[in-house]
Amino acid sequence: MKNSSRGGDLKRLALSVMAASAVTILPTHVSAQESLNLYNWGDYINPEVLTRFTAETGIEVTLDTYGSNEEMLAKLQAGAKGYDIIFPSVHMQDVMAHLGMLEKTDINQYTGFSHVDPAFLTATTDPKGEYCLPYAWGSVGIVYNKKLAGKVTSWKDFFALTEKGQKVTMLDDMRETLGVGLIMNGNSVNSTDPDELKAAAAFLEPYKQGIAAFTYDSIPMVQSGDIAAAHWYVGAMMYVTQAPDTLDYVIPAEGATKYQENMCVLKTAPNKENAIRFLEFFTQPEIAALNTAQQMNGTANKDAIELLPDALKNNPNVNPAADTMSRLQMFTDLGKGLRLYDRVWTRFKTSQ
Amino acid sequence: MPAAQQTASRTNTTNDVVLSIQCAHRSFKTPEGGQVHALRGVDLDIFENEFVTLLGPSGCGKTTLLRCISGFERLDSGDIAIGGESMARRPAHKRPVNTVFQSYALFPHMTVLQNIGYGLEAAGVGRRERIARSEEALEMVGLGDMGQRRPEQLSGGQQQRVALARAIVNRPRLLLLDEPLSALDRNLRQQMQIELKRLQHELGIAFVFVTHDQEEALTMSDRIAIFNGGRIEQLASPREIYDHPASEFVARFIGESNLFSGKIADATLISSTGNPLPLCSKQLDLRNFDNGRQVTAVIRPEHLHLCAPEAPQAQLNARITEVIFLGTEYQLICTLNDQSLIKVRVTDVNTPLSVGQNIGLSYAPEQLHLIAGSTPLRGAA
Amino acid sequence: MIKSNLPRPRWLQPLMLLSPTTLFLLVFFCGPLAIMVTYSLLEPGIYGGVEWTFYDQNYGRIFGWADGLYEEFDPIYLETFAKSVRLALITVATTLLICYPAAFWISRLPSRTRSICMFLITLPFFVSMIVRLYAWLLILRPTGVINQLLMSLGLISEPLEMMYTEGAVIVGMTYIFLPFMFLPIYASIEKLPGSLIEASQDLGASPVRTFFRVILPLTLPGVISGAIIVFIPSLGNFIVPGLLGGAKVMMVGNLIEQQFLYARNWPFGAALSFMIMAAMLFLLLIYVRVQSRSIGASRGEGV
Repeated sequence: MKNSSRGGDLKRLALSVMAASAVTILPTHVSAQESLNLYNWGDYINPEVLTRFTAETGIEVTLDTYGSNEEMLAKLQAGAKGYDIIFPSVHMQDVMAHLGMLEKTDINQYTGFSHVDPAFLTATTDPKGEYCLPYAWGSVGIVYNKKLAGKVTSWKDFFALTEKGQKVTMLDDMRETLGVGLIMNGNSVNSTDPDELKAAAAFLEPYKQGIAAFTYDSIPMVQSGDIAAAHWYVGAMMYVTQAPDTLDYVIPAEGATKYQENMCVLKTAPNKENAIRFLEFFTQPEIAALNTAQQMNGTANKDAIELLPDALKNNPNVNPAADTMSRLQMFTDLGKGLRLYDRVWTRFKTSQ
Repeated sequence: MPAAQQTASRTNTTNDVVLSIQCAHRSFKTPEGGQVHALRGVDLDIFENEFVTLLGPSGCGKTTLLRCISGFERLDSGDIAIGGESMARRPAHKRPVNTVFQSYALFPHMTVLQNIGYGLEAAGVGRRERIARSEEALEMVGLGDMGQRRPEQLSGGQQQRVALARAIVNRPRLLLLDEPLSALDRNLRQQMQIELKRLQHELGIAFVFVTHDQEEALTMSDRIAIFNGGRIEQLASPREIYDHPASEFVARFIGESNLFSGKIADATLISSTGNPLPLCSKQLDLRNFDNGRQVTAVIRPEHLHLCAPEAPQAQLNARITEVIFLGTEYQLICTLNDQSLIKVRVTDVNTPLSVGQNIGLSYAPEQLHLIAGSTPLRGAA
Repeated sequence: MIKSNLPRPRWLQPLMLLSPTTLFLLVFFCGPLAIMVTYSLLEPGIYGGVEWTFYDQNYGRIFGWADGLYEEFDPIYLETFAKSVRLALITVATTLLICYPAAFWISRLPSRTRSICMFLITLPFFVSMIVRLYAWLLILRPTGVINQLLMSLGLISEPLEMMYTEGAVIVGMTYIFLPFMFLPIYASIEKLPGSLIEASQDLGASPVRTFFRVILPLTLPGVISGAIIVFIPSLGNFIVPGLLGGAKVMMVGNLIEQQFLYARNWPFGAALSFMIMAAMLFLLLIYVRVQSRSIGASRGEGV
């Protein structure tokens, strides 16, 4: 599952610092026809999907993982070779398209592409789906301990907990956490207006005492009752289904961010044909459903939804209604504007 | 025999005992779980202004005793008193003794003068007096101009002198010296022996000197305590120990000696060497040795004289196995009839001697020293 | 100089004199340092990496001459640096307070027990640091071992707030860097001849005097080495403040991490890194000077 390990493993972060100088060399198979190398977020694909693919095509799949978009980009920029398919977030797909790193696959010409909901063709650099296949999506909301927090439906409830002396955590991700401040002030999560950003930080400032930490490792703490609620990904559903009496996940009423990752083929891919075969393989509704059922997130394959277990299919937090959907914002790449976030974020975190 | 006279006079003046050790016991656990008895009941009195050497092979307990006196080790039982006061509850830094360590143990981060003044500093002596006394001590050991150097800039002999100055500057009741000369070369060692003796006279402090070198012990000591297996085998003046060793161990350890064991029969010793060896009847009477008594006889190599083989005065017959030239004399190693070896000193270097030659050996019976009771021993030690 | 007849280019000659050590330092120390200095003087690329134009705004942000929309001077960078120095110094102090007595004690143990102790001290190296830090999170959290114990004993009624505090960061860094302090101190204590301690006692010095006049001065090189080896990685650490400080305790290492991984601003990250490197080089220079002076003094130049 992508989200639980997103940054959860700090070692990955350390590794990615070294990526600036490191060059990853993958074992290249003698016969290119037989192999496919995926470079994905940690635990972000159901292993059974890969087993099925190998059984069907005879192509061996190897899987390597990363912890953040930036880590993946930095490694590829530093010269990592041998990867065929990557899973960037949409804004990172745009960055990579600008950098000319992505291969045109014409996946939209494939018959199976009709299963894909066109609403998920969100990349500005790829509005028709000529390059990448929409893979999965999810919201970033609140996971909370029912016994400690009672019912939480909004960011207002979330921050109110801190006023009652309870502890919460937020993500150690400047765009996600400042994004909450932007949403609460009615601004776009992609704002690059310095005043709006300062206002977002100013919104969060009074609650800083109650925010125990900026971290990704929140779920066990929420479950044990060390903290009452956490700013977290929809992937929390995996834990909610295991402990429904304690945990719950909600998309806050004021709105939230959403993320989407697409499957893209690299220009430097050594096994392009196999890569395209994998994309085609993944357009099958039952394969997409197989993946989503295990990952417990959203799928872009509209015909796969029907095949999902009821608990997942009918969950408004995983497959929200249209009005909820309309309150979810997606990040776009901000270019130089990212530096404004960095400054506001650093100042916010270090202020006493 | 000045040493013997001194000892004799001392026994009369028991009131100036400076160190008194009574029934000292100490054992250690070995890493394998066994026990080593380093001291098993040691009694020792040392008098004012006396130079006593603790002599013995390594592991005999002499160093343990020294460490018990200085306070680095505790006794299991028994007592150590200095100047009549028990040291049992006194930690090392409160005892009126100072030690010259085998490794010198000079503080490498201090100058020579700072090293010497360290004990005075600890005793609260003021800076000016401290420097004056340290310099005086340094003069005494002949290193007057070395005060500002660091220990590592000095030679081994100079370091030795600094260690000595550092110990004596505190005017201890007792100076303990733990094999202090063992790291020096032969010439320097002999020079230091003389100097130590001179210092002891000048200072009037009792010295307890630990060594395994018998020559050192014989040269310097008023009395020697021979250690073996955690006990004192003999405590006497050097001359007494040389002439009248109390045990076979002492006889073998001090000087060179030839040992014969056997039974007394009509003022002779019947041993495996063949001929009965004549004994001094005066000695037999004095010590109440009767016929049939098992004894060991000791004779020093220099008390054996050469004569013609099978000559009437020859008490032993032997064949020369080895001839060693020592400058002023020869040492012979000869084989007796029973194949045991015997050492002989020949001072007349003009006597023609060759390996394989048969010779006769004679001695004056009063030179044969008897030791009571024995385990069967053979030949020379 | 003798004229060489060998057909070797003149410029190669000095290179051939380089020893393997020099070469090693060039490749693994000076090389990365040079890259970092260069990067810190370049303009950040929009998608990470650098633009090859000279740019003084990275240092400007830290030291005060930057004043634009994207590059603005902010004292928090120097403040964070000062805070990192403070936390690193505290870590040095706590590790020293623990390691010195421990090393002394262990050095006096029988050899078998001693080697077991040494093994135990190096044992944590075999487990991932991340795992060990998570273990501390479990110990320090409100429902963790310490709070539960104190509450069941009735000593406290509310859990103490230990997790995600500066105290937790110090505990974590102390724990992580203990062996780095221990080993050099242990080495210097073990080298200290027992006879010197005995000599001091023998000369009438109390245990306290013996410690301050003999033991401490003679083990000081080990203490200084340990302090430097602990200080340097503490200063640049970002994993402990991230994990046990909940990313609320910011050290300069976290700033650098942020620049490379999230802000895609490599040059500014390089500028911050160079600040750490400069501080370390400064420290090492002092250390080398102190060392060479003490060697000089012991050679008698101070007479």
